Amino acid sequence: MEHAPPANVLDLAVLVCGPLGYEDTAAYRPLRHLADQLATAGHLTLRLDWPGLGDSAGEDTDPDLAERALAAIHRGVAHLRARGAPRVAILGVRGGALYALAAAAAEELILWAPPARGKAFLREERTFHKLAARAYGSPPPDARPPPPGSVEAGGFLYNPAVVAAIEAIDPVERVRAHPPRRVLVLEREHTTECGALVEALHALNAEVATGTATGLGDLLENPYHSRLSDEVAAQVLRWCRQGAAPATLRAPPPAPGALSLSGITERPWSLATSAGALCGVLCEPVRAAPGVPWTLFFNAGGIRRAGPNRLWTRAARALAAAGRPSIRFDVRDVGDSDGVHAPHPDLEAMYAEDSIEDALAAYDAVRALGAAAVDVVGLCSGAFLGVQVAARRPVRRAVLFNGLAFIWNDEARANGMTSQIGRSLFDGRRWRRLLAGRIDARALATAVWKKGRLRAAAGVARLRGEKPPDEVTDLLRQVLDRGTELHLVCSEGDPSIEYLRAHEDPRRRPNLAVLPGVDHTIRPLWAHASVIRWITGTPTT
Amino acid sequence: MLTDQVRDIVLKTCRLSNPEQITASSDLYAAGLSSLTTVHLMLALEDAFGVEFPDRVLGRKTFESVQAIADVIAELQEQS
Repeated sequence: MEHAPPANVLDLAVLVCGPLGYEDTAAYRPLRHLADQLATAGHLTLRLDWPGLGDSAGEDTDPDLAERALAAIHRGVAHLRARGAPRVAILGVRGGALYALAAAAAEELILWAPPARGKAFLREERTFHKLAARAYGSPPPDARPPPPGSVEAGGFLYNPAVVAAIEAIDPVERVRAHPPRRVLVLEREHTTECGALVEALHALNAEVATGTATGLGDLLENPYHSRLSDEVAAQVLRWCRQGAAPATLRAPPPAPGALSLSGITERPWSLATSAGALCGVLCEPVRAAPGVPWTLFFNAGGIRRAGPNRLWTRAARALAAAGRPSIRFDVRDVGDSDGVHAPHPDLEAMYAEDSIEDALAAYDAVRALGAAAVDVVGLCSGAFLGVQVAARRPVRRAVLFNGLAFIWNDEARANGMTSQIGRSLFDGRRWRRLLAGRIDARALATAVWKKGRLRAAAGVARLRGEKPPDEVTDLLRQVLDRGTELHLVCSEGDPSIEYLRAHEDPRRRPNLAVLPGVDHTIRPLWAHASVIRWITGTPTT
Repeated sequence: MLTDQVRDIVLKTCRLSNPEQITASSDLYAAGLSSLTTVHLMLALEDAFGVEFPDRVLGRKTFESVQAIADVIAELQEQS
């Protein structure tokens, strides 16, 4: 993705090489905003999607992903130079910093929390997986483990060849082999992991600036609430501005056409709305038969259109291989779509009417492209959008994972608040967290009171022999009455199961299924094939 | 004291609410410690104490409280 300066172009262009794996999921939107800031400041900026991630070609099992990543960096630098930038700096974040060092494609570098070594980085990823996997259950007996020598972390895989390539990266050795001229090193707080690198750079007479990678957790941890540290942005902008001179750019080359992938093609898709442009990817077979249904993929919270664990990209390509087109896109404020800088500051934003408006606009655009029928896919807030669209437009089939709310009402708000502390208010650990001040006690009390009042009202209605009002049940019935084949798939133990039980109509149930042993965003690798089979319509259970 | 040093690093590395209420036995995960933050905490502890957490102790139990962390660090320091 290129970010061109609107005016006052400077001679330094920046290639942003984001983090890898799960960290990419969270950091995507904040890095987009940093790229916007760099462009506004006069620096032509290009962001890379790594091979095997996001919308790029390749699968995480491809053995040559690391080589292709380095090649992508070289092509990115070449693009910026071809646009007329006399100087190029590569900004590498975490694993992206390792690849930037390995590529040695530019003499100016911004290294944002670079790991001390490739081996150290993968050790972190293994540890993260070990800690996070406690949220998973046991894999089924027929689940295939990753190949020996792989590293699984947060829903992503580093295959054995990639592991070997990353483990071989020693930042100190790399800068000695290819000395950069000018470097900004932003070290992770409370560590000295960049000490040896900075010392080596000084010994090489590089122009070295150092700073602190404040707010790294906010950047990397949670895609629903990730944010860019103002301090880091200021450090990067200041460093880029130093010594920069005016420059003139050449016109951009013609926009790339389609990405061709073994009988399917993908091309950028965008839609102008009242909030700006919605960005997405149209994925279609080379020859689509007329009358086949199209699929529309909705964001899961703040996760961009590639989907949780890149599942939407993979499912879209599986659908196209079966002759069925799809669009995966970002609602406003998410991924590459226009909107505010800090996505989803709270649950209200995630379930806002604006998102429904965007989803309906995308649906209408798909029909305008000639889709005879439309299927929808979503997870969490994406499931909310799926139900809302299916209630208002003809939807052939909806496959919705872990929907915590289908109507954003007082009950959903109350569930949203109480779900932050778990299903049981009588879990002592949850109360300690409340008492520790992590949760807004007043908002929680209001939510609990509302939830109690709703349940009490329902109880009174039943005592009177009246049907308790249930707009969620009515909505689901409405979707089924419109003829939608509705599949609600929940992770084992997910709060969405309780929500569905509370609103099910025993006379008129959608298809319900439980995925055992997985968390809310379905991170275990062994479950991904099941998700794709659900979406393509070929589940085994 | 080791637990005080560990507590200091925990509070600097991890954004936990009401840090003044974190004691040696406080449940750090209940106080907001996440899997990813635990990894960052691990690195900060290794840096501060000159130890490396072996695979066998890399689990939630090790990081569930300041005291649990201090106990593991003490064991690692004894072994080195």
